[in-house]
Amino acid sequence: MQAKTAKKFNFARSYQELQKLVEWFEKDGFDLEEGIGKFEEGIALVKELKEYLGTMENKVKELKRNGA
Amino acid sequence: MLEVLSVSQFISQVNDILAGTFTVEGEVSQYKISQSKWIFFDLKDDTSCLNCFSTVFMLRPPLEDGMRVRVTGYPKIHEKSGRFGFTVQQVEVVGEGSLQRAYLLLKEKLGKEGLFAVERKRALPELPERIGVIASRDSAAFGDFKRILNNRWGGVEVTLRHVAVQGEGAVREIMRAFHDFNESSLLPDILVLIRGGGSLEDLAAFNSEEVVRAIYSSRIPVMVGVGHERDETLADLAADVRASTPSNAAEIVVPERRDFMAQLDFTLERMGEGVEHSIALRKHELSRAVSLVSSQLEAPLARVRSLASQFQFSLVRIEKKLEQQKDFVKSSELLFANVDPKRVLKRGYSVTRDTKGRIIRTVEQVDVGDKVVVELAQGFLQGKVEEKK
Repeated sequence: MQAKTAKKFNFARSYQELQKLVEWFEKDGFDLEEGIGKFEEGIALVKELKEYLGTMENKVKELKRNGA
Repeated sequence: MLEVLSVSQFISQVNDILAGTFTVEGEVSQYKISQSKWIFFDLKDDTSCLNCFSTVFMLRPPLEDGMRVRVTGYPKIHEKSGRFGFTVQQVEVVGEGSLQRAYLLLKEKLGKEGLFAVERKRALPELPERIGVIASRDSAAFGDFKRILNNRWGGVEVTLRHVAVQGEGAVREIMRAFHDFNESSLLPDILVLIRGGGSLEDLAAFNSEEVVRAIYSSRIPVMVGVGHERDETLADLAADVRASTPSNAAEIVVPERRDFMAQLDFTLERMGEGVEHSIALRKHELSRAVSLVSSQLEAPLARVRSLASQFQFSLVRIEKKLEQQKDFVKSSELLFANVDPKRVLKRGYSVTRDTKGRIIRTVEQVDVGDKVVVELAQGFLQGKVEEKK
């Protein structure tokens, strides 16, 4: 349970990171050296996200009435 | 002998006999609201008429003459007027035609209040982690939602709040569910209210003012998905996003794994293109710089080249000149060798000079008694002019 929660947190964060990378790449005239570094980061993130997507399942629970 | 009662006593006793809750169905007529508080109307069938009374606080759905309704309340004789009436506590619109009109009336009323305004619709989170679902536990609607959700995506925590979606208590349970989700310690990223399709009567809860207001005032963005595509409820209109069916709700709320993965690939592609573009840009800049530098170097280089060739040419000329001079010197030497007086002297001639060193060619150059120097091939003679002839 704890591990799953931690993993889930990573997913959202990784995806956010990826989106930030994309935004960074949208800028004009970035530093090439830095760009290659970030591209490598992107590859690693995408790999991670894909692996996660392949394995995770949804959980269903019920919300009981408050105080009932 | 019958007991004699006061008017108050009599009315009180009759009201005791009448006491009880009844539900009566009939057609509304003479509907009016007084002082924006009191509601009066008659409930009729073909032969009879019942005076009804209520307040705007008790009677939620807007009514209209001609509507078919089922009213629940109690009969009573009013002490002051002595009139018999029916106090209405709850009203339910029945029959498709009446429901349709009630629906339109409420839609107009809530629309004027801005509950359906497009400007206030919130965007849904792109990738929700927690989804709150308000639905009936065993309904096909919830089953479809779960199935599609699992087919498309993973890692989501779905929290179901089981409610009755029609009939007695549905409105109250749905309102309560919205309240509880909004008060929970870990708020879901989105609330999804779903049920199967049905008649206007089945969908009554989804067309109730209370549920519309619960959706409107939810802190959590709300998606509503009801039955078939053609079913449009007021809940749909108030939702931040309307799904056409419960399955469609699942399709909207999470992306499809494959699409998402393709999008991830696309993301990488775009980054790669970014890098490539950047490289191409640098290449272009570099080649421009190179051509600029070389064009700037070209002119001086050409000058140097022409200077060099000129220089080479002059070298050749100088060499030639040197050659010429050498030749000249050689021939001059030869010439000089031929005319060298020493050689003449060797042949036995001599040269006579005066004391100043001038060569004496005629006798007029000297006087008798002048000293002269005679140069021979070997040595000098000194003498004096004795005689001129």
